[in-house]
Amino acid sequence: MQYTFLLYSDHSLRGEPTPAELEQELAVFGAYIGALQEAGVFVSTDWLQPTETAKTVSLASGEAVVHDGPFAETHEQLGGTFVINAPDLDVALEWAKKCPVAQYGKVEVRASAMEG
Amino acid sequence: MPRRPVRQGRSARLSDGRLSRIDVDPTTLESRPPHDLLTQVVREHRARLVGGLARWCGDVQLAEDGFADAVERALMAWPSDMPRDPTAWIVTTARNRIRDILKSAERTRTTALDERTPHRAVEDHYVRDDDTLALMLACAHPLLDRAVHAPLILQVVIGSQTTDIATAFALPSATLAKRLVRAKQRLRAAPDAFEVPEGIPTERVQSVLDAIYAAYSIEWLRVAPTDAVDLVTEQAIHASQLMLQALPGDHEVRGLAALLLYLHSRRETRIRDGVLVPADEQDPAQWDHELIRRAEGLLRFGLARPREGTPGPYELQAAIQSAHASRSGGTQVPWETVARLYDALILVTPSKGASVARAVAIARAAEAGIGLRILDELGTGDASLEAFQPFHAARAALLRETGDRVAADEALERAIALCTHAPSRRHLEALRSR
Repeated sequence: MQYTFLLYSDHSLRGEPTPAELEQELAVFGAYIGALQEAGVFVSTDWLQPTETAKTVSLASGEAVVHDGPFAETHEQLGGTFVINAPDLDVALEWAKKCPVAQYGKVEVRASAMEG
Repeated sequence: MPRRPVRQGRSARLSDGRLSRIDVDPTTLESRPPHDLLTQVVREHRARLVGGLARWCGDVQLAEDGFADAVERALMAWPSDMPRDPTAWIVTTARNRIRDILKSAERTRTTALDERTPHRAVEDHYVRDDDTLALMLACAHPLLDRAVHAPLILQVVIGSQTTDIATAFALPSATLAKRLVRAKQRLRAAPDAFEVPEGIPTERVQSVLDAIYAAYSIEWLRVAPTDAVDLVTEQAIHASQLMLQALPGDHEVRGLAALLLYLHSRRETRIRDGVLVPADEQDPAQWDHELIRRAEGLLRFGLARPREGTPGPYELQAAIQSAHASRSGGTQVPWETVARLYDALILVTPSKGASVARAVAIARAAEAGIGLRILDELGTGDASLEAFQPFHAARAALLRETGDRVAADEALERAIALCTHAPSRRHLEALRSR
């Protein structure tokens, strides 16, 4: 079963990282990705540009409307995703607990509706 | 920035002989290169000196900045002009620096500095016996989030780099840095943050011990780069030793110090080629016997002393590790004793880990089937064990011993799926073909 981790955190608290900070953050996430890969559960990950750069498109009112900014202005913003392949929710939750973002933000765990 | 003056009452109380100078043997000063001596002062006395400075100015950050500045100046000054009392030199230099920072801050403020200027009454007594303890208690203060206790102790008391702590705790360093700054601001605003209360409440000490234990156990709590984890583990041992010096009569303080020494005595043997080796499969000859000897000494001393109430969780866990260490003396692990110690531990601090370990100890003392029945009863009573990796690993081992290979393999696969700790996982995977 495929599970997606939606990674939410408060980006307003974070400035532009220095090269050293960026390198350290990559090491931390690298260790996590390495563990997911070794366990054979890793599918993919993605990191998103900040929500200020978002455009939101809708035709719900009958014509195409393109908004600047995210669909929802929230304190904690969607900053990236992990997709993993786990036998069940318990296993997915064990990995979500170890995701670095869980320590300073929220990790929303969603099962895929495409299979099983 | 409110600065809290050190109160008259406090300094009066402290002048009753509880003040002491830090011992640096003056006879060795002449012959020691200044840099070696500075390294020694920083390594051995950092906690007390930063603690003393923090109590003096009411601000951990200022104390650290003052201390760092003094060390930097010592590097320049000591080679040509060696002070007679190096620690006094550090404290005086740090205090001057702190005063300068406060004065320059005053220039940009409209309020008077009088209220915030460090009190001169404690000037002569630059360090007190309980300065390390005061700093430890402040770092694990109930005002602060529990999650920040361990990183704060590592940074402030031990002097570890924020980046190293952040990496071991699997946090972006900028995120941790912000948390630490916020925690220090909270302490600065708290009137009694650096007080050592009379008859220190058990829970205050417990918070410090829990933080140190969390730092030592970090590899089980996070997925993080190994080097940073090893560094933090060493520093946790150091912190537990500092607590031992600060509160040598406290049973739980001794218990934690002994527990960590027992665990650390197996650091070279517990992982081989990246694969976890369970304690009872390790070669006892390879353990660090000096650490085991020190741990035994701490534990026995504690057990021989009179006490109120029952032993606490760290002392009990140390006793369990002592039982495992008995193999280094050529005797078998006394599994019945281990099982009884887990009984006691579960009474004091119930946990899934202790319940599973108790079942295994009973199985070892009696037979696998009995342990298995206990595990199954646990599983029926607590649905969350379904997602608890050690529960399935223990079932797999015991099922195998009863000859039920099919059920054992199923339990093993479940344990592997739930395992997020790479060396443990490799160990479980290797069991497949055994």
